[in-house]
Amino acid sequence: MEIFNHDSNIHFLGMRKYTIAIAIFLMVASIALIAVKGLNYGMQFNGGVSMVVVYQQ
Amino acid sequence: MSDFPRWKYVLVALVMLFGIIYALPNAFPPVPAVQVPANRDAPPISQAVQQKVEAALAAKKIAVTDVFVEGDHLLATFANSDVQKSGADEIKAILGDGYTVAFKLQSNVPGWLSAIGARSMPLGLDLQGGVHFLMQVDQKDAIEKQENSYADDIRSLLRQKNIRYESVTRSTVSGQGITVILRSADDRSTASDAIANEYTDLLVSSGASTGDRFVLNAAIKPEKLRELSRSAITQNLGTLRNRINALGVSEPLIQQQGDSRIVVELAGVQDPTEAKKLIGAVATLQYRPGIGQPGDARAMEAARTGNIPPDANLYYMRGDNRPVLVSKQIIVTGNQLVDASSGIDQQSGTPKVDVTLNAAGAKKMGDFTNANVGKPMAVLYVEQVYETKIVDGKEVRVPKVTETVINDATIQSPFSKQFQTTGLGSAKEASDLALLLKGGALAAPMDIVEEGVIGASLGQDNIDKGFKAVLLGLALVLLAAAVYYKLFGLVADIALFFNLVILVAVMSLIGVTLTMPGVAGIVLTLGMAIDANVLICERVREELRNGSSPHAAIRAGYEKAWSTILDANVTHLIAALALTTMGTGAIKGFGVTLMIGILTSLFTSVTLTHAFTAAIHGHRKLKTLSV
Repeated sequence: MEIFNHDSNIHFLGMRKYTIAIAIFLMVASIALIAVKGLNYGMQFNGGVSMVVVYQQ
Repeated sequence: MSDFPRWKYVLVALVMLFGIIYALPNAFPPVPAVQVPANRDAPPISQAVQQKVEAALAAKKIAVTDVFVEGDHLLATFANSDVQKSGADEIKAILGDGYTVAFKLQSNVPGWLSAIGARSMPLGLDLQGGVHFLMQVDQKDAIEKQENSYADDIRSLLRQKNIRYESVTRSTVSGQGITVILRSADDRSTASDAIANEYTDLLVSSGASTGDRFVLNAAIKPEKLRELSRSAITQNLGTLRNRINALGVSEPLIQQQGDSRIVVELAGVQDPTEAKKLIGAVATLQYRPGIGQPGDARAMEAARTGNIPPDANLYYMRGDNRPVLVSKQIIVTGNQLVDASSGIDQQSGTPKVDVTLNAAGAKKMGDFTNANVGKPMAVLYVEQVYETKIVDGKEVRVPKVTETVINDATIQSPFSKQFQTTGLGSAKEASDLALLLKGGALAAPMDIVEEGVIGASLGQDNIDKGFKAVLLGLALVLLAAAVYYKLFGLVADIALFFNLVILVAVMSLIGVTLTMPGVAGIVLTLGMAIDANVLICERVREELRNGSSPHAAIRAGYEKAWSTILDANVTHLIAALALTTMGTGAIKGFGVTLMIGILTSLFTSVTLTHAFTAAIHGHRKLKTLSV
């Protein structure tokens, strides 16, 4: 059984204009998002109280 | 024909056997138990105590699996932790104060397995339930105390040498030492020499002088500073250990973490307030004149009748509980103590403790010892624990004070600033005494920066879920490999299963504590281990497509995939190493599991599968491969 046909012939370099554009867009967007929105730090970083409570059914 | 050497078959067989045997103890989960050792003044554990406990438990209809005497303590095992708790309460009630009742997980591993060093993995707090504290030790405070005492000493030294000074103050910036301001350049050089001679731990340097203010800086040497911070941690570790032992928790974990933090993990404890009370206790020291020797006739008489002389208090010696009479007069208190360290007496060769007092303490000590040579002097250790009690519906904080005499020695000759206690029983006794002296006087304050309680039922829940996650992950990967690569997939499946077994065996053998992140590491390792087999199988397929014979395809597949596999695993290993060395707590557990997992998977997915494929295909003429 094979998922990918080993004889497949996809012309990847032919699409390079689009794929490079997508890659650059993703990189810029990621950096911008981290810079603008920042990360949502969890309790280990911020400090705080965490409780896990079990309710009796 | 197969080119797989015979010794590799033997190696693979041996490793598989090793994996099975050393992973086996984990199939025997430990049972909840109650451990009862006798305290010093109580009669030792015997058959009579065992029968008493058995009868009491039977009377209350508490189902106990087994009650037996093991060494110097009694063990009672129970079916589950609920019964264990009611059983412990009952045993505590029937035996009274003379015995400590502690929760324990009793190993259930068969004797022959323990005999060859096989043991089950200890479970972390998140899987077992318990309380966890992370404490920050304030080392700055210890250094400030030391600087203050140096400032006192310098003042009295200058007075003694008749050097006129304007002021001696501790610099406001911690760790910057003491600033001495003198009136003339001559005074400054004599003062500088005097201080440098007297206190070798100080680094004396001249500062900028303005007009008639001549500044002298005395800073504590860096080595001494390092030693101070280090001893602040060791003292606190020692005091914590003493206090937590009193709590009766079996196998508490008290460990230094990083430079200034201490982790305390108490498995099985469900109420953090009790533990916090003990951890937060305040200890002080008092040097007082002793009356008679510990355990002598007068002290025994006073302890028996309760007739205590009006100028004395009756205390008990720490450790052996002998009564001792101590005068009410206080000579020196703990905050006048500067240092205490243990060592070996050069003259007699016995362990000793060196004590250094500050200037004020030294004067009082000198006055007292001059007049009292040949008489005893006792050291009283006072520990104050705050308890919250409900009085008339209101919460009241009541201090509970425990006072014990930690040392009672005869004054051989007058002394003041520095003196030593010799004739101690052992080096351990000496270091214990030094720790107690420091713990009562100098311990840097600690703050709890993180605390957590994990309920026992939550722990069990975590075990169940973790176990399910491992099984589900394993099953899905096994299925996918078998469907996609047929026979080669099945071989990879066998390897994957043995990877799990060997991983567990290695972790058990080196005593890694299993925690939730560890379980996550195991599941992740299983998913990644199959990666190497994918590389090998794809390579074999490619070789077959290019027209190689089946045997050549297998050989080429393993040879050519090896460098790729090694590269991938080495980078993976670097990441795991970073997690292990830099990470703390949970992250470290994950990293350790991952690292062991990478190494075992490298063996199982390459060497072990190669052995199996060679054994299956080796002796036959093949037309095709099932891959």
